[in-house]
Amino acid sequence: MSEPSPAVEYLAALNAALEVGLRSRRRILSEVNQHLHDAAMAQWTAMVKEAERRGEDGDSEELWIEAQRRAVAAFGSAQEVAASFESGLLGALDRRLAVTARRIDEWMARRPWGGGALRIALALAVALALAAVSAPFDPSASSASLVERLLGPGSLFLTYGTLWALYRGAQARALRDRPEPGFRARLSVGVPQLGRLLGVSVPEETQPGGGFMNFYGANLFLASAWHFSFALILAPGAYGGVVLDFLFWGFLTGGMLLSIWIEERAFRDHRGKTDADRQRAAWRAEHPWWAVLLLSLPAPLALLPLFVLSSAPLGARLVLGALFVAVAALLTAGIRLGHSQDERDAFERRMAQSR
Amino acid sequence: MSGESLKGHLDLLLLAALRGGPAHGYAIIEELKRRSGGTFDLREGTIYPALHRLERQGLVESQWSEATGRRRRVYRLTRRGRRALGEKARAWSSFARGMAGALEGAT
Repeated sequence: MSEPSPAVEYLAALNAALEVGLRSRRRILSEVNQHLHDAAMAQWTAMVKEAERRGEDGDSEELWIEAQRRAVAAFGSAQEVAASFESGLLGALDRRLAVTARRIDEWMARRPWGGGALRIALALAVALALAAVSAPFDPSASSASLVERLLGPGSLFLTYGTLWALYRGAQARALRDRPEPGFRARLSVGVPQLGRLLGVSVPEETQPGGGFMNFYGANLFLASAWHFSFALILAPGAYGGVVLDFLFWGFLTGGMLLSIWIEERAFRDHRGKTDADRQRAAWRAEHPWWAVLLLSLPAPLALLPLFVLSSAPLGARLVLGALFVAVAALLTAGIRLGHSQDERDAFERRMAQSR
Repeated sequence: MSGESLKGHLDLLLLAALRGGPAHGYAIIEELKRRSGGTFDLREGTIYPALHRLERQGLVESQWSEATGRRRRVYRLTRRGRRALGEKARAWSSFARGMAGALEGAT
């Protein structure tokens, strides 16, 4: 993987320092990117002329890097520039959440099981909120109930669960081949938009395409495919179920997004590993299989609708659920433990050099 | 002139730079450097927060524009911006005349 250029480094630092809403953030980064390119081009043109006047090679990569460095220096420090932008309401909210995220990060650093516990707590909160909001609707009209009526008790696990496992498998396969050692970095590489949001800078030339790998987009896609396949085609009159389905999956997706956002925001703030990250990483290195187990605990969150809506006996639901958690654990192990310590160390060194 | 001394006058300078027509951030800086003969030594990054602020105040408006394959945010003066430019320029002229009178013979 090539070193990030001074302009990319600067944009990452500015992204980390900005306290504005997402829309403003995108606009600011895009404008600054354009500015740095124009300024570097102007610097580079002058430097090439000067080099040629001295009879030197004016077409070296070092010259372009130096031109970028000068453009960055003329722009001003990322912290000062970021502080000059007015935060607005979204920026203030972002800052408030960042403080909360830092506290959560510190809390998790002292408790290796914190990440899993946090996600499960959020899952429970989401489930409670969902139960309250969906109370006015008839659960038997949902696509999940319909599919069990049509295909038999427990079929929910085999249909949606298989789709979900395939999605996780595709994600794991795409992320395994990445050189980055951390799940966050790999997830961000798999989903460049999420990476930009989290401030994980990955050189563009190394990013794979992969709109379908979008973490939350894929969940919504599955939900839509689910509903249109079963509820609308097999039971076209069940429009009450449409609302219930989308409430259900929308809440789940929101809960997942929130948990990822809270955990990842600290990473963006620090632009690299925090002490909390290092402590967690050390614990995970010592107890790899415990780590995989804990990191897989949030998997039932994705299967929560299956537990609630399936008409299969409780024992059968538990067995089927455990089966899918085991699949999730294997996939998680593939994503998180698929790299040698040497590769991780090399990546850490590159990150340290670029900071 | 340092960026610090320019702080209070940045809005006026930006509005004045846009008087000639729409321009993107980098072109505005180049225009300011050209017109001032290199006197203004401001950090280039300071103009973007100022442009965003002016836009929120309704003095400039902006939109993405694509020229020669590159996407740029182009700023233009609004009617309110033109009025504000006139008012600020008059206030500045009056201030400059006063200062020049007070400093007469001091240089």
